[in-house]
Amino acid sequence: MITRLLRSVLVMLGISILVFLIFFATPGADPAARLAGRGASAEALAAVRHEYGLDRSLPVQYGLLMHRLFITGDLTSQVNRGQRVVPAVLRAAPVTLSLAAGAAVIWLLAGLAIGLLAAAREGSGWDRAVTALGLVGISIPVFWLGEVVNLLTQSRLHDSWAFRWVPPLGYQPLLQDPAGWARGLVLPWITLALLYAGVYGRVLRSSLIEAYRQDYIRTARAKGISEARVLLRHALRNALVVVVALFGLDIGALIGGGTLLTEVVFGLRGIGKLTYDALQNLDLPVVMAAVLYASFFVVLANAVVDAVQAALDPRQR
Amino acid sequence: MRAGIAVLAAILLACLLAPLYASRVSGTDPFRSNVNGTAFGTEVLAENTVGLGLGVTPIGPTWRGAYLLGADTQGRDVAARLLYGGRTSLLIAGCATALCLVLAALLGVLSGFVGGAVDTVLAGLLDLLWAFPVYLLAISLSIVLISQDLRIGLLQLTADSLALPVLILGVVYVPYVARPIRAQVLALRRAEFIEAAHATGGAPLHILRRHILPQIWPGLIGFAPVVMAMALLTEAALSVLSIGVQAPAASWGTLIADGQALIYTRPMVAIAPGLAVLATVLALNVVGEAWRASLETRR
Repeated sequence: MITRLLRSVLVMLGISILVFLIFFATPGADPAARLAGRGASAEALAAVRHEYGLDRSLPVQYGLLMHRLFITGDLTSQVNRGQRVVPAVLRAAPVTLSLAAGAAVIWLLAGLAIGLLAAAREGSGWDRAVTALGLVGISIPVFWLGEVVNLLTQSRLHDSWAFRWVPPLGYQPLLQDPAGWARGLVLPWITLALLYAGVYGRVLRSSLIEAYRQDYIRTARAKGISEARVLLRHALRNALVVVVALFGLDIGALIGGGTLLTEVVFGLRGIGKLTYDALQNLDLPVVMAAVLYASFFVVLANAVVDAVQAALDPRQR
Repeated sequence: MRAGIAVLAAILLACLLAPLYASRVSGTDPFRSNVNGTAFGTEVLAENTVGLGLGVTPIGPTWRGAYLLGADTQGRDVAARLLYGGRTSLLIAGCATALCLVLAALLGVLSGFVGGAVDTVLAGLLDLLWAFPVYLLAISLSIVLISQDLRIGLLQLTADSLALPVLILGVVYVPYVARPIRAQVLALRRAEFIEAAHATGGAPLHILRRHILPQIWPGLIGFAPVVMAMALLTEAALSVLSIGVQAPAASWGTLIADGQALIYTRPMVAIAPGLAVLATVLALNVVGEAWRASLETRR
């Protein structure tokens, strides 16, 4: 446990250094000009140089940046002068977390259901359909899928019985309006979950089939315990180890990529939309803060997944 | 697998040969706007007097030779832009894949074969990159390279150069390939036939070339379709975020981005390139899957 935490801290340190080097030490370009934006005046450049300590050594610059990002939180946007970046990222975080968590729950449940069914009917048409769904899921550009969902639910078909319940694009806070929160997020959730549900179903299917070939299943059956118990306590538990490992890998792709594009297409003002707007305006402090906070979150989430995995699989303890 | 290869070949040919025939199937040059609504001297104004009569150029799909998929708001032919955008997307993804595989093979073999301190440093770096979410790394690299032209010695990269997305996509997927290669080389180094080769006095480079590289090849090639699939999707994502391919150049990603604002009025602008990406990436994934399955049965 301690070594795992230590490793997470090391990885976060490494990522922060990497991000710092990318933004401040890319050879052949002046970081001040980049931070100040296009066509900045000489005074603006000087102000940026002073603000980020660009005339001092790289380690000092790094320390200064990390201090402003994680301790004082007083890094300000270059485009909306005076807007503090860190509070903006933290304000947007619940939107991103709502989106990611809901989507993950849906795809894990859906993956579990279709994986169990596919394993039970190995080689059937349903089994092949799950394989196909998995392949299509990893091949869809998520932004485009969101556009198609919007076209179906917000355009001419919006007044049909099927989509009348769909609210306009946007986000309602969970605590103020739980029903509106869920209603507004259902389609983004499903959009994201569609990408992953098939893959998870497939992975679960193959590891279940693999598990059923093992000796311990035969032993369990020989002991005379029920089929349901064999499935739940023995086969599924072992198959889930693989699913949890896969989930750990996908958190990064989800927080760093999937939610980013989904937020943009569905007009949810989370960290992804914040990053998107900052990218449009070349507002580098915002991008830096969003990238670092999001990657730290991914590293921590991965540490949690590792712990869950160890709990499931005694071999990894 | 055969179906996948066939689809890939069809898409590749359709896009790469576009300059030869695009003028025959499309209304306009892919990059020139056509707001007065004529194609080949014929008026195409009459198309959209019904329904969502916005603009003067047709909303796709239409069933005539020109404007098969309609036009965007600037009157540019969506079909032509789809074909030319495909060239950009495929070129970027293809070059990025080649770059990624070369870098990954170099790093993986070097790290696994040399071992020692070199391995510790390289493996640590790869682990670090691996833990950094791909899109966030790509965003950091892109925004820095796009906000300012880059000059290193004689090498100069401008913000609208297609080499930028190639470079970025080529780098971010390196750990994905290099880590398994390194593991494979490490395992091979301990294999009996390699130890035997060492014992009989084989020079390290000879062993590397004769015994290790031939074992690495099939796996490395197997990564090509998968990496290219991911590169295509990531290119599209970065272009949507406006940090991929820069206007006036167009790729499938920028077309999907252009189509977002037009999705209710001119849905074809976004739907067509999205389907193109989906078909290409799906075909690549099918081919990759089949290749890996054939490797497994061979073992």
